Amino acid sequence: MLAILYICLAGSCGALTRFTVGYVTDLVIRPTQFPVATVTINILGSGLLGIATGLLAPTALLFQVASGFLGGFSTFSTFTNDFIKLIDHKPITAMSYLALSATLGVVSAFVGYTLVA
Amino acid sequence: MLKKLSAIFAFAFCGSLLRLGLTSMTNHHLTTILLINVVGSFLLAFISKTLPTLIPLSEAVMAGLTVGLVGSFTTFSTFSMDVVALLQQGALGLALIYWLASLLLGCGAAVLGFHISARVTERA
Repeated sequence: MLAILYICLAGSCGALTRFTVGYVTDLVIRPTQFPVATVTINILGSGLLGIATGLLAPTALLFQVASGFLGGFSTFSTFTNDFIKLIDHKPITAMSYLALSATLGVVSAFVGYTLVA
Repeated sequence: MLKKLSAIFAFAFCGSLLRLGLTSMTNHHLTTILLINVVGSFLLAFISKTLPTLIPLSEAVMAGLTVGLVGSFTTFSTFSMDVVALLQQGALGLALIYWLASLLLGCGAAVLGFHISARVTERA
């Protein structure tokens, strides 16, 4: 029961980290059409989950808390919504965003996993 | 800003709990994650335009619902790691199907969400 609480609190912290990264990115690189923050977050989150999966047993509390954090940190819904918003006006940007996220996410998870496993 | 952060924190807790509940209740991990990501993609598209036109919601609650609840409910890291796990098991076909289905159905769900939202807000 306590484990569920820790996992979900970690998810909350992940979401706050995601929001902060997005907020700061918007301040630093203001006029951008490319969702830099979301792509970075999702590739980074995938790589870190790869590392956690390689290092820890799936039943370990630390793994569950880490994947709770990364689940809250990374996001699939913003990724698909960003793509749809971009596709009409900036099709090339939209397609490269989709391709970059979907391939580098997997590559990043693979590299993270194989580095430590 | 503090209100917004608190709302994101609280709603993200619920989003994580919802995903945790769904994944632990079902035996089909891949199908569950796929459904979560597809449903979440639809909800984000639908909620972000529809809700503010129907009900007066504060910016903090909207951020809580979108960035917090739906953002945490869906997950990109598990999606990527699932593909890696399938590739390592040698299930190349299933890996490709899961990868493509997540992308196509996720984007399709977002399109649907935007369309239904446009219909609803026109009437409102």
